Amino acid sequence: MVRPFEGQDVSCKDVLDYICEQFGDEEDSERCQEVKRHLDKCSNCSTYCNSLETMIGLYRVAAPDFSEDAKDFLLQSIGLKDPPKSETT
Amino acid sequence: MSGSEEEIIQRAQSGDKDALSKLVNEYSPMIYRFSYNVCRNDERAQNTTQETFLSMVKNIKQFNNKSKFSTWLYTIVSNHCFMLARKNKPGRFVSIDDDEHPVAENIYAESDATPDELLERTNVRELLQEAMDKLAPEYRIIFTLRDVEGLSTAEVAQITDLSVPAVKSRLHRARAFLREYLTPIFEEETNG
Repeated sequence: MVRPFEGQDVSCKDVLDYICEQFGDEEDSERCQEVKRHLDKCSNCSTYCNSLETMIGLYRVAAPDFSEDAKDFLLQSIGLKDPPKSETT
Repeated sequence: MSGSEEEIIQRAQSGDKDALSKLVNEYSPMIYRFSYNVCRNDERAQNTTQETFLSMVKNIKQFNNKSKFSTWLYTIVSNHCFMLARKNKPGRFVSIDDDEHPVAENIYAESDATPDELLERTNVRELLQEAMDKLAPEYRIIFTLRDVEGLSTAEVAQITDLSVPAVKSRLHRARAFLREYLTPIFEEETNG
């Protein structure tokens, strides 16, 4: 089996491209193991990788929750729940 | 959701309103969150969520259990988001289709703060919105499905009707663009 990056040095560019392409995928693959070894000894790539994770985390936490009131309104608007009866005086 | 999802979907396909409501209750937070991340606006996200579930009610008989129900819903909401984004702001997105925007190798600044802590800082939300606004919908949807919603690359390919390499390529460019655009957040942290 030909190992990823076999016979060539792993450059920061290779690592950045690979992280961007495969982030979170196939973590046990040979190629990923090579990348992890590079990350262990290259602070630049390690820092960039961490900042990507933080960026993704920011987008994950930035969305507001969908409230129970919003759910009720949604159910009413698509005809799955009756609107509250208005009080008569 | 009480009862097996398959059973609830079967009842919903027979027109059972209670089953349809259960599906809406179960999946509306997920669909709203996705819509908000793509639309970057509460009102548009609520409208897209409503359109998605109207489509679900109308077309649920077409769901054939060959994919997860969530994957089917993501396909519907992605189409609605894509149409809305194209209708509202045509032609104002940055081009990242070519190699004019490679991965910048000089943006190594990082932050020790957590995303929650960073989000409390002035202008961070605005910067997140600006960055996503500039990203074309086809990239925005892929980044949101893969990274924010945590779907597999194969699922994203199925939802967007793209090949796995095409999804990876767009994801690569979207991440690189967003990371570069958000550099001020990380520089501020580094500079104190």
